[in-house]
Parts: sequence; C-alpha cells; structure tokens
Amino acid sequence: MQKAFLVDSDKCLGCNTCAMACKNQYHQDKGILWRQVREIGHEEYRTDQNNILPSLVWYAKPPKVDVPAERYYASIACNHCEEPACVAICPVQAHTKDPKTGICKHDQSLCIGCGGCVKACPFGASKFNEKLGKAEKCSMCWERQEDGKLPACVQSCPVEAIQIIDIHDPKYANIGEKNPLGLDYAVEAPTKPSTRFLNLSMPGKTHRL
Amino acid sequence: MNANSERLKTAKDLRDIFLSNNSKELFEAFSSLLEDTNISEIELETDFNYYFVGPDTPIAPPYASIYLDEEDSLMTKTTMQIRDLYEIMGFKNSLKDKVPEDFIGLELDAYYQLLFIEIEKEIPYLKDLRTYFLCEHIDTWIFKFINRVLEHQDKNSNAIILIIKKLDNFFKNELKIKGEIL
Amino acid sequence: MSYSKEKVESILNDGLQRRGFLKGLVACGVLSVLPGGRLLANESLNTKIPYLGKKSYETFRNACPRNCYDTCSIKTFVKDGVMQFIEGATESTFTRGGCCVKGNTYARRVYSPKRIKYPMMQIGGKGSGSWKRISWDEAISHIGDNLLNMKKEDGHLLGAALTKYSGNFGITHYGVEGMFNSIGYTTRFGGTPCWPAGIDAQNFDTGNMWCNDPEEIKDSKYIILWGVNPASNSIHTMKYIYEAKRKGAKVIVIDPLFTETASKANEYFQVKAGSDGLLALAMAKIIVENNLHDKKWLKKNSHGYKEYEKYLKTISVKKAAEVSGLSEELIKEIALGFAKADPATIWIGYGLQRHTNGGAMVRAIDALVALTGNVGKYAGGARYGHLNTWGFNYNAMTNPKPEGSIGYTASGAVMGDVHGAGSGEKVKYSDRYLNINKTADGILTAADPKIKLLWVACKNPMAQDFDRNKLIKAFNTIETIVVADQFFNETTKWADIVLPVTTQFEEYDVNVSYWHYWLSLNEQAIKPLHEAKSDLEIASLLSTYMNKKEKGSCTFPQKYNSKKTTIKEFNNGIYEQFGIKSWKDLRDGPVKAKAVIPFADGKFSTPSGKFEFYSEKAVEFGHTALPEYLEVRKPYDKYRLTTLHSRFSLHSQFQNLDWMEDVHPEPFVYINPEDATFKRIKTGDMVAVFNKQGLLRVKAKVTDNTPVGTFMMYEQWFNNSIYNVNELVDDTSSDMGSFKTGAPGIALQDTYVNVRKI
Repeated sequence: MQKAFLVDSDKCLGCNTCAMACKNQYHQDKGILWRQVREIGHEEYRTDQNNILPSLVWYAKPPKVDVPAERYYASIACNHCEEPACVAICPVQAHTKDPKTGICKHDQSLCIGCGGCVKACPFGASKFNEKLGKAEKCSMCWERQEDGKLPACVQSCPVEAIQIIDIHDPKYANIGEKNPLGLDYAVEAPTKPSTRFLNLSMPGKTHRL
Repeated sequence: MNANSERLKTAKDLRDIFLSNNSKELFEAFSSLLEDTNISEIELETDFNYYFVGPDTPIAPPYASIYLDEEDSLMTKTTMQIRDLYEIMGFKNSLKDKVPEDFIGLELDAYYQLLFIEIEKEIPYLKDLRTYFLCEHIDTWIFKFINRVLEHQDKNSNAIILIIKKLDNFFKNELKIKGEIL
Repeated sequence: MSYSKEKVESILNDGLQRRGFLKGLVACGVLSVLPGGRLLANESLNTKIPYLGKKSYETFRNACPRNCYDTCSIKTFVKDGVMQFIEGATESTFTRGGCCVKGNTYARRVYSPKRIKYPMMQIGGKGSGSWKRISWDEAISHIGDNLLNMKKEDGHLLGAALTKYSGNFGITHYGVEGMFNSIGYTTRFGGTPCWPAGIDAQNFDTGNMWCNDPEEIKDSKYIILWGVNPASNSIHTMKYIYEAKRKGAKVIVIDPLFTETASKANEYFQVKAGSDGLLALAMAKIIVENNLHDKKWLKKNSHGYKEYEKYLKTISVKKAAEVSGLSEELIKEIALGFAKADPATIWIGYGLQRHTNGGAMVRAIDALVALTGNVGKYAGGARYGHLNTWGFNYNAMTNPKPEGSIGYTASGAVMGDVHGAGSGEKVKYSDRYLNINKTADGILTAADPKIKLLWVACKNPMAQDFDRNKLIKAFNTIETIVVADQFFNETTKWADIVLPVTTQFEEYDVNVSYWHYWLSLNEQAIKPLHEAKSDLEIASLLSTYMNKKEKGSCTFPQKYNSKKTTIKEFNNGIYEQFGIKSWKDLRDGPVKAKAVIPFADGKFSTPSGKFEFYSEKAVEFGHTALPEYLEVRKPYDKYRLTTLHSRFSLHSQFQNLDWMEDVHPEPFVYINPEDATFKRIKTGDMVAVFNKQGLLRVKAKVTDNTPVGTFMMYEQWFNNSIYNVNELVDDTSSDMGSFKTGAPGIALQDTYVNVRKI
C-alpha cells in the first residue's frame, strides 16, 4: 500500500479550508503551515538554494501556465514519497515510513533539529520551527486514520478536491499526473512522490468586456 | 485579610527573602514578613549569609538536592527533575544554568506563582501540579533543611530563626490542607 | 488526595499527554497572567496538540452563527475543559464534515489573547485609548443608572438607541432587541445593509422571499449564477453545482468581475455592473418572441402578465447589449439556453442588488424565472434566500414594555429583516426608527431627544458602515456608548464602556440558515473565558439592577440560563417542520426540514395570490408596477469600484487572527492591465485609491479579473491596518427596502474612485 493524496485542481476552489483544517487539528506555531494552497501560474520559480525547494539538487520545474491570478490552485502538504529523502537523511529516525500504509511520519519529540530533512526534501515539506529548534511536517493524520477517520484536510474539503488513494492499487496506479502545472515543484524527483494531480480546466468560453 | 491572601503574602515574602540580591532587598522582604523586629539590616544580612550563603560553607545550603541526593554537589538528579517540572508548569528559568532549579528561592517562586494564579486569577489548571510539587517534592526536603538550621542555633540569630519558623509554619499548614484553596 | 500522583506522573512522562497538557496550559491563559519572578512564563512551549483518539475527547454540537449562507453544523472536540479542534458535522449533507477557512480558526478565536476579558471603561474619553478595568457590577450599574436617569429627565427612553445586526445569528441573540424592548420605547436602527432591495423585490413578486433547497441544484439543467460568488462565499453549495455540471447541466456566471466562481463555470459572461435588469428584460423579450415561455403556468399562476408582455415589446435588445456590454448574440444564447432547459434556475447574489436600481433588477430576474415556468419547480426557482425555517418563539425578544412607557408618536411600522411585515395595526406609541444604513446621519439629525446612549451589539459600525468620518463625528455627540463584543476593534475604540461577550462555544443556542434547510443545536462546550458573558446574561443583569432601583422598570427575565432559554425557543411548528419530537434529538446531530418546494402549489402571498409581474404594492412604495428598466447611478469619479466579500473574513471577523494571517497576509486593489499601464502602476506598487469620501492606501495587483474601468477590492479588515473599503463608500440608498425591512438598502456597489501611485 502507498497511501497518497489525490489533488484535484479542477475542483479546488482555493478556499484554504484544508490548510486551516490542519492548523485547527494541530495548532502549529505562527508562520508554519503543513499544508499550503498554492496559486497555479503565479509562483516565482526559484533557482537558488535558499528557496521553497531547499534541496541540494536542482530539479526541473513544471511548465509555466498563463492563467488568471488568484483563480487556480493546488493544495500541497507532504508528498509521502515512496523513497523519502527525509527518512534517509534523519540521523535519529524521527522520520519513519510506515511499512503498511506508506505514510511518512514525523515524531518531533525525537527530532534533534539538525535540519537535514529540511534541506533534503525536494518539496519543502519539512518545515523548520525556529521557536522549538526542530523540524515538523504533515504526517497524513495517521493517528486520525488509525482511528477510522479521514485526514483533517480531506474531511473538511467542501468539494473533495483532496482525497486519499492507494497508488499501489491498480485502480489508481495511473491516475492523474505526477506533477502539477505552473508550480515551483520538483519534477522527476528520485524520492518518488506519491501525490497525484488532476489538472485544472478553464471555462469553455469566457466573454470579457 | 482572608486566609488565602495571607498564604499568598507569606509565600511571596519568603520567596523575596531567598531571592534577594542585596541587603536592601533582603531587609525589605524580611520587614514585610515579620512586622516588628529589632534587627538591623547589617545584622540580618550577616546572619543570612552565615546560614545560607557563605563565604564559609553555609550551615544549611538552601538546595533540595543537598538533602535528597548528595551533600557535596549541586545540579544533581533532583535538580533535573525540578527543571523538567518547571517546564511543564510553563516556566522558563531566567537564571538557567546559573542557579539550580532546586534552589529554595526558585522553588518558593514557583509555588508562589502557582498559588497566585489559583487565588487571584481563579485558574485551577495547574493545581494538580502544584500540590504534587508540594507533597511529592517540597515535603521531602524542606523540613530537613529547616531542622538543619534549628540544630545550629549557636549564632543566636533571632532573625533567621523567625524566618525559618515562618517557613516551617507555612509549609506545615500547606501540607495539612494538602495545598487546597480555602 | 487533592491530586492524583499517577495523573501528574503520566503528564510528566508520557510525551503525548505532556504535549496535550502544555497545549491546555497555553489555552487556559495561565502564561499571560503569571505574576513573574525569577521564573518567567515560557513562551517557547511546544503548543501543538496531538490527536489522541476518539475516546480522549468529549464532543459537543455547535453551529456557526455568522451571517453566512452555509451556517455550518459543527462538532466540537473538548479535552479537560479546553476546546481542542472542530469538525463540520457529518450528519448534515450540506456541511458534510467540513466548515471553511474561517470556521477552522475557531479554536484560535476562542482562546485568542486579544479577546476582551473584562468590562472596561475608556476613562480618557472616546478614542483616547486609556482604559480602566471595571467590574460587571460597576458596568451594569453605570448603564442602568444612565437609563433610569434618562427616563426621569425625559419621561421616556427614546434617547437610548440600539444598533445590532448579524454578528451572531443564533436565535437567542434576538434577546438583545428583547433587552431594549423590555426597558421601554427606544430608538432603533432598523432595516438591513445586507439584502433589503432584493427582499422587497421578491416580496412584490411572490409575497415572500422563499428560495428552493440549494441541495436541489444538483438536478438543475441550466444554472445562472448571477452576481453571486459561491466559490468564495457559499463553498458548501459548490458541490451541488459541480454535481449538476457532471450530469451535463450548463452552469453560467454573469458578473462584472471574473470571480472565483466564474473560473469554474462552463461559460462566463462579463457585464457592466447595474445592467442586469435590462439584460433580464431583453432575455425575456427574446424568450417570448421565440415562444418558449410557459404559457400554461403563466395563465394559471400570474397576475399582470399581459402588461409585462406589452412592456417587453418596448425593450430593445440592442440597447441591452450596449448598456450591458454583452453582444446581442450572447444575450440570445443565454435566453434560449435558459428557456429550453427544464428545470432551470437563477441564483441572485446580494451584490447585484446593492445598486441604486438593485430592487428593480431583482424583479426583472424574478420575472425571467417565472416567465419560463421555473417558479415553484423542483431544482428551479429564483434563488435569493429564505426565512422559512426561522419560525421559533423569539421569547427573548418579545418582552413587553414596562407599564406606563411613553414612546414615539409619529407613524412608522416596526421592522427588521426577520420579522418582516408590520402588522399594520395602529399603535399609540412605537419605537423611533432610524435607518441603519444611514447611522451617522441618523445620530446627527435625531432630535427631541437626541441620542444620549447607544448600545452596539453583534455589529461593528465603525468598520462596516459608510461615511466613517461622519460616523466618528456622530459618535462623539453621544454621551454614553456601550459596545458588547469579543474583540477590540474599530468600534470599541470609540466606546465608553466595553463588555466582553461569549462565543457560541460558551453558551447554548439554536441555529438555522437563510439558504439551506438544516437545524442545528448549539451546546455549551466550554465555560466562558475570563469574564465573558452572553448578550442574554448581560440583559438579565441589567434587568436585575434596574428592578432593584426601580421596580418594574425592566421586564427582561432576571434569571439567566442559556440552555433553558434555548429550549423554550422550540415550538410545535419547528418540531413538525423538522420531524423531531424534541430539541434533544438535535444532540445526535443537525436535522433537515421536510422537503417543500416553494410555490409548487401556486399559492403566493401577494395581494392577488399569484406571481405578480404587475405589482400595485410596488407602486405604493414609489416603484413601477412592472419590473421596468431603471438606470443605475451615474459615475461621479473616474473608475468604478466593485467590492466583493473575501473568503478569509466575514466583514471584520477572523482576519484579525494570526492563523488567518498565515494564509492571507494582506489586501490589494485589483486593477486591469490597461488601466494600470495608463496610471503606470505595477503589481506590488503602493497606491492611493480615493474619492470624495476618503482615501485608502493599498498595494496594487494587476489582473484582468477586473474589466477596464473597474477596480476590485475585497471587503475586510486587517490587524494594525487602516485598510477598509468603507472609507470610500457613501451612504446612497438603493431603490427598494422600505416595504419589508423598514428602510431602503445601500447602493454600495455604485462607488466610484480614482487612483494614483504613491
């Protein structure tokens, strides 16, 4: 099994209910969002090291798209990679990959704040908390899932723009795209991100004044 | 003044005595605790230093670990436990690593502040922790400390005896009512 | 043992429990009240909370009482008396398990250190910023004495005024009006800034404002979202629109702006603001010419159709194209598409009617829906809102005036937007009504007596009202201003006394929506924080004090119990409508009213009993009998300003929380690239947007979401920022509103501005 987020930019309203559902669930510190609703077509693609992709490797980025401002979005948290860089680099096994579900879990109480995962993750999923001196990230609400509940973001989305799928299930193995459009995102990252994207579509016809 | 505010005042005065930085502060706190005394500022300070500070080995070093772990060392196991306890109580030790957490002045500081929020602010959230601190920790060493002072009355220091008696009464009282708010 | 050794040790040793405990520590506010010593409050605690499993929490039913279509049913998770997190109730098919970005900040809002904790008095005078904490006794006695002295001096209490609106739409909060009713005849700010023109329009046409169940939208075949933006402001309805789309329906958006919703439509039509009425008439004309109108329905259910049809002949589609900016072909496309679909529906937004011709435009659109036989049809209808599920007892509101009360003797029916029509009875005395949409004016011109005491509740007039400079001037003429609120805001700044009120989690209440058909119980999940009290408790304290001083001076119940008050709101009508036996059934989750299709039986509450294309009632109120074309306000400055509601705040609520700042840090003015080029403005530039009312400094963003000649700004209020679009809006009235709500609405979408780079 590899549990994964299926992100639908066609349905996504950009309402940020998901980002806030996560904050409501865990009460992260100021400035720290484990899930972010990112604006398609209007992200600056950074190419320096000190960027949204704090990675030591330069990745190709998805093609830019020309879409209206503040209208199209993709909700991104942790990509729960099949070969996660965070798990590989963590010296104290604060990052682990659940062998059954494939969820990449982070236990902040074990974290020593070395910052390795923050640098290694091609997607910037691991956030560094200055106040605590430790890293933290989305763990797909694995405690909620074990309790028979959906992750907070999935449950609260008003239009099912985020869903949980199993990409090892042949039904979902080829669903959607591995990369979103128009976002500063690492294409073909060797960590094999599990998140799958359904692309936006614009209105069939628009008649402007 | 009702019983609760009495306790609070006593706790604060005792804290201020043991946390005092100079003779003036010590004397102010002492005068607040014991209204009429004939002791002078200088006498109070010299007696205080003799018993609790130095430069000679103090008669009764005011640290819990002395009475619970080792006579000759500070910053031992007990200190770490108290450090952890303060963290759960929501405290940050402004004198961290300089003054051990189990120094009587800091323990009185913690106890006083926790009593304060319960009595003055009516927030009972930390009551369990405070009474645990009182019964499972303070109780285990404070009377050993008090007895150490009382056994060495060679200096004939009325002031110190008065302070210690107040300390003794205060905690005996607290323990009798198990720290309850009246 | 007054403590459990095991319990404390598990907090010390178990990582999860420890973190949970620390979170509760921060939440209960201890850290901010520690007296300090050598041990200081540790601000760098890990205050995140873990999910501890279903068994760890006590759950409660709550509802979001904000002025919002979606009125979510909430499930609240509490541990050790501290609210941990919320979810949307899964029992409601409408809420479906999730709230919105705003609702998801409730755990932060309730425990915000910025909440008003104690009654306060601004001893340095209004606007001085010098506040003193006072006790509830002091506050209540000060206000009570004020009122009693006023009564002694004037012989009545018309100098006491109440402005209250929709900050909390929980049913028991009508107790605030009840409090004012219970002291005598007073001055009230009546009417509503929100939707009055459309309410009147729908009432002229159908005798009611009664929209179909929004969940039916999934079965509509042609959906026009006309001047409404549910992708931002009714996100829970979007799933039904998506479902309809999936099933092959056509969803079109007609809007002056390319909104969030427009980006999801099958087809988007950009029109000039204020032209919608003429567009609808032109479409109607085309439909009749193509013989696509529902002749059978019209014959059976309408009044004045012949006159309407005759009027349509005078409509020029060419003119409609000019005025609206939509080509004749496109107008025809929409008209035919709409008429040929069955069922077809139109959702009329509130922004659409905030024009000087707003009411007339809604009438024209209503007529279009009726023309095609879509009124009274499942998944059809001219959707605007309803009050169909609001039939509670309103006990808290209906307190009699004390014996011997003297009031206003001029005429003027008692109105509001919930309790609609005046009975038409002639009364000896009444309250004095001023227009809530002209608050500043009302205060400044009120005489005999002038306003001496103003009570503000569930409203933030300084942020939401118009002509703020005038309002500040007006506030300064009032001796005592009392503001009951949860946060310090623009209005409390000008208050004399501020009273802290509870959030919905700290009291009982019951909630329904003006859009969907669900009923939610709101249980008390936690104890009130600090010294916060419910609006109702404040009323009973005031009553107790006033009656002690002068027996019989206040009829408001002196005993406060929010649970009992809530339970007493239920009646057989509600039980019948919702198919429940008792309010207790709602503890298991929200319940939906039995399905009814408005007007399916052809019965309209109009004078004729039919759908009125021709309304004599409208003429009584100074309008045309038919839904005729009325020109919109002419520009008085260079660019039109269209303001829309942000998803990140509800007026001045929510945006002030730090959690919200994380997802939405700052405002912009949105300018079309052509206009931006002309003014040499780039995205990120600071600009001044100004007109005769005032000036606003804000960052610009260049986008063609807004057409040439129109600027777009979101209406909301930020921390430490003077950004507020109402700076630029004057208090010009919309055409309708007096019939059902006592006062005309506000034409705030007819605002014009200029801009310069700074």
